Amino acid sequence: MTDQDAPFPSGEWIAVGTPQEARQPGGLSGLLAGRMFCVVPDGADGLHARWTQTRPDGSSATTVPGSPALSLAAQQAYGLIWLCAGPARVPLFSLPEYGMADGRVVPCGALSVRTSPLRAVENFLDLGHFPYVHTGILGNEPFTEVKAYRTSLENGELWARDCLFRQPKSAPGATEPAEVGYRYRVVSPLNVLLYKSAPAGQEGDDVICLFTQPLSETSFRAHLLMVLKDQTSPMAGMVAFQQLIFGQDKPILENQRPARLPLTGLTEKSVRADAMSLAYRRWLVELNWRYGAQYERG
Amino acid sequence: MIRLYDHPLVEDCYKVRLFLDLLGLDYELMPVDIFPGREQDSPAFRQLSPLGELPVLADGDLVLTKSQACLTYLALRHDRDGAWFPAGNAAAAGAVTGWFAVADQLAGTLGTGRRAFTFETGRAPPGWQAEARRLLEYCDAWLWHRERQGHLWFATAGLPSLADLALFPHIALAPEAGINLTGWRALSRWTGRVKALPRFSPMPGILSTSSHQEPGA
Repeated sequence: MTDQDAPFPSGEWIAVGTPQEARQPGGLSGLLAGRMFCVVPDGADGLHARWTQTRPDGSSATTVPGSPALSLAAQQAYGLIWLCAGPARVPLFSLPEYGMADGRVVPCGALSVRTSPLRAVENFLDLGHFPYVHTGILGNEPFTEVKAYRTSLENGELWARDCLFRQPKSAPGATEPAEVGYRYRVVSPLNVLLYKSAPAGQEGDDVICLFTQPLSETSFRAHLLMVLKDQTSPMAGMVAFQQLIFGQDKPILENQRPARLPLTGLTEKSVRADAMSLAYRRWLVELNWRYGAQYERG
Repeated sequence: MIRLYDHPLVEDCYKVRLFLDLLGLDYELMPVDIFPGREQDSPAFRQLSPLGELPVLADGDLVLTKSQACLTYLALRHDRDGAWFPAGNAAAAGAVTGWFAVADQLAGTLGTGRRAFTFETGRAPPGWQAEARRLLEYCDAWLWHRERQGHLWFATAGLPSLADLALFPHIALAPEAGINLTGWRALSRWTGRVKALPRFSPMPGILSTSSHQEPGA
């Protein structure tokens, strides 16, 4: 037996689209964990978000019978609109790199995927799949070793540091293979980002973000954002690079079973390459996270 | 040098990329940020592609849009063996272009369904799933009969043709439109054969290897 109805992921800041979309006629409509929302500019440089009953095409939205009314707050940050249902568990994370003069903001749009958003976050944290899924870009055989790295909980965020991986083409502007340093930062169960050393000739770290918007427990939209040190590559090529990478992950994610991320039976022996995945799953258990997760009833 | 104005996740761009790879031609990819940048609406791109469509193939002074037009041009211009588009065989050439039309029907059903879900761009026509299933059923039955006659490809005997390449991305990406191919076994065998072609290159969403069995194996 498994849980069938996880409670709504309230209290979480969730990316749902862009300010440009909200300024379109009718505003920005979409699905957030089975409920329809609509965001419009409120006329005073702010945003107004509300739940709606109908989809943009006029069909009726999924409603959650008997669910308590939840407030809906909106804010704009990092080129995206963020919604939070109910009182926020924590403030929206800080991403100082977004506003820095030497960081080039590369919005890469959003793609929908048929699996739990937690599966995507876990996959994002995995170095081991690079040579097999992103062959010739983020990895190459025989350089498959994942060296030991540290994981830690810091100020309510899950971090992995000292990750190293040899990559043929670590970024759109990379021209030669390199040993690339990674730091992973899970800012909330649905939002993750990583810092990786920028290619040779560029100083500092690139930032790659994956923000997930659950549509249901087993489907989500992946909002992709990068802040790169690269000042010269054409925008279209950088966007294509990231969409190609995520497009390669997508069929892998959609073929994982069960679709929801299993959070019981975490006692199995794992190799060190899985340390961050295990830390993420344990963290979800500690948070008593239910949405998109699967717990066996014991 | 041939240039291809391209997006990594668009089926019709992949069709042309794949054919360029199969022919072993050198080409330069020109990424177009159709999403989220809507670069296809820019005046510069509209100069190349008045309808704002990808792919665009540029070879010397020639600029071509529409994937099957690009395939046909490349076959007649660059395929020395003349196998991919059998111009000298009226019946086979007619059959190939017939399958081009089916590929467009698949693009209008599976393709719009995939885009509507994945990118939230455009809207799939009502009933697209049923129509896509009807087309896939037809393709599967056709291939099954072809296999019974000893033929492995849609329109030609012996070697594959542009018919196979025109159909392949739409059919192989059906799972991304939410339609599972496992019930259509002749189609599954055929996608495996395409993937086994020398110099085959995958696109995101299409895995480069698959387990498949030839009939009788």
